[in-house]
Amino acid sequence: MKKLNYIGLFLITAMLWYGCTELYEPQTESQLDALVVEGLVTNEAGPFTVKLSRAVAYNSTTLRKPVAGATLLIKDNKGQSFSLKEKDSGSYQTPENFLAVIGNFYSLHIKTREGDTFESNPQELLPVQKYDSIHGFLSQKTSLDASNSTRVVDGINLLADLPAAVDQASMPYSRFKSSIMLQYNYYWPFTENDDWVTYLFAWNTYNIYDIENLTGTKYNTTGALKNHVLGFIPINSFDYGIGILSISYYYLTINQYTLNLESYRYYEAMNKQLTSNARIFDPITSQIYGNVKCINNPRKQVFGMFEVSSVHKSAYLTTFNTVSKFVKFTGVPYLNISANGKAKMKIINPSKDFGTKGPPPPIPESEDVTPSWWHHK
Amino acid sequence: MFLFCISGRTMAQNVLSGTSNEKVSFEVLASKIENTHHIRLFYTPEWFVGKTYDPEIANLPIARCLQRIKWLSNLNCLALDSVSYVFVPNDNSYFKTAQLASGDVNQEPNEFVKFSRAKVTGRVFDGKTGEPLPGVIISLEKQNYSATTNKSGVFETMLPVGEYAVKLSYMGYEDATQVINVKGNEKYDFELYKSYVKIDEVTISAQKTDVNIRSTQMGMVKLNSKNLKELPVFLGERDIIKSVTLLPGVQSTGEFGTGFFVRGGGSDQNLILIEDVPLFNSSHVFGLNSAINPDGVLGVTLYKAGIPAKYGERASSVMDIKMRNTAEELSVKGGIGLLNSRLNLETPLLKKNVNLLVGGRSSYSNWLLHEMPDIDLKNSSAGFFDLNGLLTVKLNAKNRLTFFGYYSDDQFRFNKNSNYHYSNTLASVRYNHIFNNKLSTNLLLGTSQYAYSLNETDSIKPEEDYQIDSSISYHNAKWNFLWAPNDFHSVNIGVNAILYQLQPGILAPYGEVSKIELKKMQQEKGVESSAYVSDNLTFSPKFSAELGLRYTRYARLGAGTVFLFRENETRSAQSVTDTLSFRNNEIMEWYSGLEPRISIRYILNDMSSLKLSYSRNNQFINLISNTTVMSPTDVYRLSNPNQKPLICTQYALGYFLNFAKNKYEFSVETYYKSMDNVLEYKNGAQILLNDLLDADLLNAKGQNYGFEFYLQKNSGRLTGWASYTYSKSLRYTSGIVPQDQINENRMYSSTYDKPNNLILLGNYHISRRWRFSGTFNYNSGRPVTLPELKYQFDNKQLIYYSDRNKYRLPDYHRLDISITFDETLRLKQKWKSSWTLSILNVYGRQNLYSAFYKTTAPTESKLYRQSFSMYKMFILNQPLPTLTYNFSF
Repeated sequence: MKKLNYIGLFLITAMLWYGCTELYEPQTESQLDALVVEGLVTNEAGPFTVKLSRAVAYNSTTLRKPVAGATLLIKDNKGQSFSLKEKDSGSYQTPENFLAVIGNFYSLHIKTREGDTFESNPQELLPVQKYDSIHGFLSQKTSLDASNSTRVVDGINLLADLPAAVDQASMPYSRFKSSIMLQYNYYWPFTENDDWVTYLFAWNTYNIYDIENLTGTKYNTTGALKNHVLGFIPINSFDYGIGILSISYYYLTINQYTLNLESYRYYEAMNKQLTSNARIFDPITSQIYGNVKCINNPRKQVFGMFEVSSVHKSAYLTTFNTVSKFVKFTGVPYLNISANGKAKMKIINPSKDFGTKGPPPPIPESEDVTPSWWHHK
Repeated sequence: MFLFCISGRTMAQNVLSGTSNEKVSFEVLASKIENTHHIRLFYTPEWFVGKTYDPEIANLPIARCLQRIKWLSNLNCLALDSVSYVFVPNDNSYFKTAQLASGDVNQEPNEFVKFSRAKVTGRVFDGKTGEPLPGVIISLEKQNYSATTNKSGVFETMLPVGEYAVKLSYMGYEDATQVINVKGNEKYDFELYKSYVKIDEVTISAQKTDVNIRSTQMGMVKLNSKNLKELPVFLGERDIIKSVTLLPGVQSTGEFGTGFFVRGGGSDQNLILIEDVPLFNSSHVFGLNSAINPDGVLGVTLYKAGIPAKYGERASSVMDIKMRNTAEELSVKGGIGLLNSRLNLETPLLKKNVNLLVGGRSSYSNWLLHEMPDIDLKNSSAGFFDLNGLLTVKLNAKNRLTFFGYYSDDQFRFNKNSNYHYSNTLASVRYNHIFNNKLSTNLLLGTSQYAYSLNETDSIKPEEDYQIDSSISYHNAKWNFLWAPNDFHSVNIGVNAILYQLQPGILAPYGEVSKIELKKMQQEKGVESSAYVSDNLTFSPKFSAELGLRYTRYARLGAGTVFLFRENETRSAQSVTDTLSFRNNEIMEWYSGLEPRISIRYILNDMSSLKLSYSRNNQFINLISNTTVMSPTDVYRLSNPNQKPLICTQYALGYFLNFAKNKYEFSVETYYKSMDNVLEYKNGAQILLNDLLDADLLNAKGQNYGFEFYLQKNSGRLTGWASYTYSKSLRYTSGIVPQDQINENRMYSSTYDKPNNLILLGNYHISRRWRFSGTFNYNSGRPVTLPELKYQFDNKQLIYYSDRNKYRLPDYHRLDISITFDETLRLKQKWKSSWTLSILNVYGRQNLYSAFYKTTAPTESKLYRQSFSMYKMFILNQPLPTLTYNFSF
């Protein structure tokens, strides 16, 4: 019997397979008067701000077009009504006497200069929830750099344990907003100068979670919710893009908002859109629907959300040791300070010709000019 | 006396290497035949002196048994009556003498003096299986005449009386020439035998005939191994599904994804049958290649319109894949590729009464994924294998058993902690029985199992590790009778029964510490049964029709619950008014439908014909998918009280023309296809593990229409085809409330709407050693939903999307070429080799595979903060050359 073999053998293939992704700016057309509502009312003392703006064309370079001159009212289910005042263009503030009470329902009513009226669904303010504890460990995260190769970032994985819910149905949803404030100081100029050296106390704040951090896992779990990821804190200054500087303090703040179902659904849809990494699977585009509707013209698009959530705020100083793999969070007071800033300067031997733009204000050598909250004691 | 009818029964047969059975003398054989068939044989023993015969001949059907003896002995055989047969020498001198000797015994005028022209009818059968062969070319040597057999293997012609050398040729079969002596209206039976040349060397002749004009079937495309072989290879392998998308009316998703779309229907509307069992997931590694090992495939037939009544189940098309089972000797084929290797073995066993085909492929490389521009894909790995086998057992000449098995397995680890696993298991057993020349039957029992699982692990949160399993279990029985009482009818009658059992999803904890709650979606069970009859009728030489009717009845069975929703309100958890519970096997809902299938052919002249078809199909199983390409996470779903079956009605008209002696084939087909109850999704529909999935789905209607122009050149140094298709695929909803509307009930383009499609495919034989081939493909861009507005919320940029499918991606076009050099041409040389250089995407067109909105990777320049923008993705954005060395020995 004749035997016949057939073998196809690949010898060479030039490995020039470059699939790639690039920015895409398709030409689209759009209706440009859609209102965007961005409001948050909590159980804390006010004032609270509601921002109104208009959506812009996708290709537009403008980020925000404020809507000024509108009339805003917040009504509760007890018959009270509070009128908001425009502080800046498109930014409206609640009055002094406004205080949201747990268990009440609040709704937002808007009338724009053009005469359109908008109304939110009534939103319930739920009781405050608090996580049980937080903990962290040193870890690594990989990402792609500009040249499309992988890059490893060292940092801390921050986790929270949440209390057990009585039952699944009654378990309220939380949204965590956690940020890390890096406190660092540096010399200026960088070279030592006998005549003058400037110390700068600077701080920058970064969100440690890219999208909205919601509890309620993808699928339900029983019992307490352990190890809910709050975020990732890079530990090296260059991973924050602030040069080769030593960081003095890692000041961590955690805001835990308790959401009603409507707010939760909104943020969930928002996350779906923000995480739509279509890739090869190309899912159905996710449209986000808020809780505000145009009353006089139901076809009119309204975006955004009037959120009523209770909040619990906490802050920690974060310390770690990369050698002994040790991470510690020390509870400290919660501070309301601007996100980024540079503090006063301490000048040793102030020179006559400091810098090129004239001398800085003279400060006595002995005075401690460190910001009062700097050490978090 | 016995001269009155000179049997025209002749045969054309290539005597194949004999079996090793103990041979017997003719006397022994004759008595065996007489006992087996209860007939009497008359012969002169000296004609058989020294000849021995395989006793198995006696077990053949009587007609074929006698034919075989005629052939082996070079004798003719005449039937005196139904039980008496006479062997006579096969030369005319004998007859003449005999005639003279017999004198005027016969009072009836001798047939061959009665006619100056005679009607000659012939039938051509597969000598091995007895099945009629359609499309066989019959030509008369030294005469300018050729004909082709119809679907029942019959041809008919008027000829002047006289002697002719009839040449029969058919793709994959040995050519045969037989002398016939036409003396009056006569019928001839011919047998052809498969050629056992390696498939690489088979020349296609079916394509060269005018079968496209003569057959009643329209909207059908056929690819045989030769066609497939001439297509450019994609990463080292021919791909059946990718090849099919080069034919008019069939569209692909792009470089990735093996799902294909036929005339505006989704990929789940295609019934892909391997040996009559459906394959639910036809791709490996999400479409990098298709799950069908090309080496074992005998041929592929795709029906786009006028689907014969014996096929049902799906709405848009049927792809019928047949495996090879005719090896005459051991043959081994294999290939070593960059991603996978394959091996295929075919062999006859037990004196050729059994044929075995075994094939398999296995992957071993992930390099391609690691080249992908995505961190998650870079961290991924994939592996697959598939196995297929076919065992044919010839019990005797009338009975045959075929066992078929197929298994494919895919593992895909996505970004280190998501593991996908899916597998297809197909098996069938088929029994063929031939009652007589006119009636045969086959009974098939088959099963197809598709299982998919995903588990996700997280080292930080092991208590949330989970696994999702879903599966489809499909069992079918098909019983078909083929009855060809005469040359004007060819009737198929049969029944089908299908049992579907679907598990849409089970969520389970994965690992010991996981605290995920077990969630089991309710199982879906349904029974689809159908009966059909179709007749291929020849009214006149010009006019023939295939009339078919299929009746399908489907029952959705319990156990399970059905939600009732308030009328005139969008379906949601809030609008549920009641839930109905059903016990196991209790009927939830009946659906039934008549499916008429009509194809009509009218031959205008020798070169052209007009064809018309109407068909209606019901589909009870739908793919629920949130992607445009098939993904393993897709879930199949059965029609239920809330989700009516998909109904597709298609009208098609075609004009077929051959010219320059069938060197060129030209056709224009136009179709209109309407669809009812097409599944669409509400915005943000949740597909996986959704108990209330009915509330997230919408029933849309579809309208699809188009023109397909096709020109093929069959012979000469340059062969190939050009096809241009203009088509539209539209959908619309008719919801009352805004949530139930898509684009406010206006007509919109479906994802499959790519109006312009041009394919140019050519093979040019530069010299005996050098061959050049090229494929050019142009498509309108795919419809997409793009962001129209953006706004800021919580310092994040959010977007508002346009109406569904309002925009289009840029047009797609690509040129692939290859050049082959054959090193050895000598037939007798064992070692044969060739070099092929192929270049995909020659001019480096950056065809958009998809456009999407996503987060950017946090980079140094962006201070590691994420931003969100619109991206476009290319799979192949520059030329991809491949050099292949093939050898065989």
